[in-house]
Amino acid sequence: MIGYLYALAGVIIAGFAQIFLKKGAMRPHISFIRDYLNPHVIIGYFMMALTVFCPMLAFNTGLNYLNVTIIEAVGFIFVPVLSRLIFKEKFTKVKMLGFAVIIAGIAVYYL
Amino acid sequence: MKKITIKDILFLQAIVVIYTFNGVLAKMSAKTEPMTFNFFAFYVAEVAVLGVYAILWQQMIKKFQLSVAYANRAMSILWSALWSIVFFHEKLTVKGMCGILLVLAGTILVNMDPESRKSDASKTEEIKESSEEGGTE
Repeated sequence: MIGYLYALAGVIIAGFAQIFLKKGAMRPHISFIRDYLNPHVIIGYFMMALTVFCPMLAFNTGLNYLNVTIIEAVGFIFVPVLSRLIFKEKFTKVKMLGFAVIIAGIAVYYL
Repeated sequence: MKKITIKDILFLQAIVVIYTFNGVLAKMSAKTEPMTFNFFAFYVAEVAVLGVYAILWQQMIKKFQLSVAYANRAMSILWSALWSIVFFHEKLTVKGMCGILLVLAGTILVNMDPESRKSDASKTEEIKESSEEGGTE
């Protein structure tokens, strides 16, 4: 059980990392270097680097590759929800159906 | 308002393809003897691939809504399956193929939605304009 929590923590941290990266991408362009050397992007990639350890911790509890990969599919719910809440991205029925079909596809592929 | 073009989507997919090479390299490095030259070469190549991916991804999410860019990442399932056939001579099951087709259909649905085709670059422009008006630059 704790293994799933590690895997889920990885997905949640990676989801928030994407939010920081997007915040960084929305800053006015000053120079190519400043597109990367700004607090949002640095925090985003620091969080990304942290997520590398989550699957390792999950594997150590006995979870296999398949279990962890399926948990990672939660990202396809989590990131759109965060995008909606934080960036007010609009979600039409077609877009939501698209995400549902993607998640179904991942489930069919791995399960 | 600027629109996301097919070219933008193809470019985003090319970045996803780069990302999937990380998996190929990881698999190749797993087959080498640890602590040998090849082992480290694969490791360096993996980091380099991730670096290139990170630089390009950051440029793409300027244009794409985050949810749309993220949906396109799901296509890594297709590219990874393709590389396992090409490089590792693995076989794809019917179930696997069905899964990939569903992911492809879902990604197309998200990309085709008119709401998804609105470029997010204009948001950055709005921020720029308002900060210029406020004289904070």
